[in-house]
Amino acid sequence: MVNSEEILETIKMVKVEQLDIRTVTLGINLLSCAKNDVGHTCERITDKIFDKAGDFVEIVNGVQEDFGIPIVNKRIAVTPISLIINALGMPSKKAAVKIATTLDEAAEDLSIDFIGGYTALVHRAASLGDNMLIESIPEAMEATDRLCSSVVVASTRDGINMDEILRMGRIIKKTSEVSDTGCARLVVLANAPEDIPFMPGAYHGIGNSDASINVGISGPGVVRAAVEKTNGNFTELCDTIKRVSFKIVRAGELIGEEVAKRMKVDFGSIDLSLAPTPVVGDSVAKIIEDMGIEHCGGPGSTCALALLTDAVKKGGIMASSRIGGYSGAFIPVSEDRGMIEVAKAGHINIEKLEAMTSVCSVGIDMVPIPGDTPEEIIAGIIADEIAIGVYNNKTVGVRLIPIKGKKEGDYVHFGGLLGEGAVMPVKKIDCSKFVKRGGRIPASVTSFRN
Amino acid sequence: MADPIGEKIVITVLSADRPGIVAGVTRVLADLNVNILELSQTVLDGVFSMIAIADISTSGYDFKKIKHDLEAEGVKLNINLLIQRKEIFDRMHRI
Repeated sequence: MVNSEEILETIKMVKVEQLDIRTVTLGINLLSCAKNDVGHTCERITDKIFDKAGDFVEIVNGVQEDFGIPIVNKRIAVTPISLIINALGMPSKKAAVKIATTLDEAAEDLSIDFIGGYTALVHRAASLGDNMLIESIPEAMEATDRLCSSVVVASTRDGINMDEILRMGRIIKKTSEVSDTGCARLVVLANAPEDIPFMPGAYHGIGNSDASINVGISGPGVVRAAVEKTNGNFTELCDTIKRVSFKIVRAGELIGEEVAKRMKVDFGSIDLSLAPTPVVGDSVAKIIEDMGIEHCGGPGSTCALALLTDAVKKGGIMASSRIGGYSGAFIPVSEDRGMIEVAKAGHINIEKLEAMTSVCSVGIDMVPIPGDTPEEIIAGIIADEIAIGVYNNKTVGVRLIPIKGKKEGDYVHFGGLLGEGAVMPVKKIDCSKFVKRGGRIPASVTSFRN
Repeated sequence: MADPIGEKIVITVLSADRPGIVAGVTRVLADLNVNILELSQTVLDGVFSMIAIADISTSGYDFKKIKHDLEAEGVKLNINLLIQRKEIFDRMHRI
């Protein structure tokens, strides 16, 4: 029997330390919806989403009620849409945008917070469907509110598609000019797993079944509360983080199992990434500071983040055999109260963020940059981050947000979970000759493991 | 309909200390024919806490109705009252 102390510990985690399940994400395979005509295809997409997700929100809310653990977001991830576009009789940009708005409308009708999978997989090269989808991104983002898009431009096994990185520099810039939140719903990825529950990188990979549930846990506040109380050496610090991480993941596992059971679909995986929010206390940067660093971004920050990520993973892996997705710690600048503060004070810059992302999950994430940053420089920043992922066998992503008409130091508000922040300076050193060399950087020697 | 998960619930109350809290909560449980398996209550620094583990299989009512009635009592008594299925605690604290 659990004892009173343990019961009160769980309740404190939820009520004081903001323990929540960030998202329960339902993956839906849309391949069966592809028909010759785009209108017909969109009808089938709507039908399939309603069929699979009709009672999704109600079921998730029921599980939340039963266990008393808040579930913040209900999301859907679908088959990479470029595959659907490829199957159309006449693939076009217009057809892509029609599918984008169809997905967005379905999400809105079902009270789904975000729908991901407006995705192209171009880590080797782009197909016709990929080309149509990528070129449609600015318009698709402008026309939608809940749709999330991702473009996979590299993998350790395939190398880095520099043509697509250069193109994404242009697409990101164009998206920022037509949509305020578009770039916050768009990520460029390397080594993307097929079971990510977090947005904007989630898509329902073709290795999955017809429908499955993936869960994204959260819990920086809970880890921080534990770290705050620890004055011990590094062994004790790591043990503390591992224990807390274990408990959070077990909560996520139970919730995922229960939702999957009630939905009668597969339970895919739990992503144990610590996902911060702009709420005070729910910050990864503050965990780093509580370890003994005056400001996140200062010397020692990369090491602190490395031990945090590692200990979180160890606790999580012990807790569940269903660990997947990114699984690490996120440092999205505008979404993390502590990061917002250090960025405003100039304690952290893109270069330090890049270093820190080599030891955590995702990458340069939710960073507002000056609106006049040239697309070649955006491509150069993406290339640097992608290289970290490719040569170190890890998932990375880049979510840069050029802010139209703003320069470094200006302040922007995105609202809600997307947060706010100071526009970060970008080095204006020309790299256009490099990023425009053309072609694909060959697979890394670290990929030859057969 | 058979309950898809377990039949045990955990009721936690946190509040300023005053008479009648345990009586109020347990009366609702009795009215719903819910059987209390374990009950503990402490007052620490003026903060009252009560934890009850109960079996709802004897009750003719489902979890939703029991939760609703207890929460209504919580509002009436002006206390923080939480009702959760016991599995969440077992899963988090036991290997």
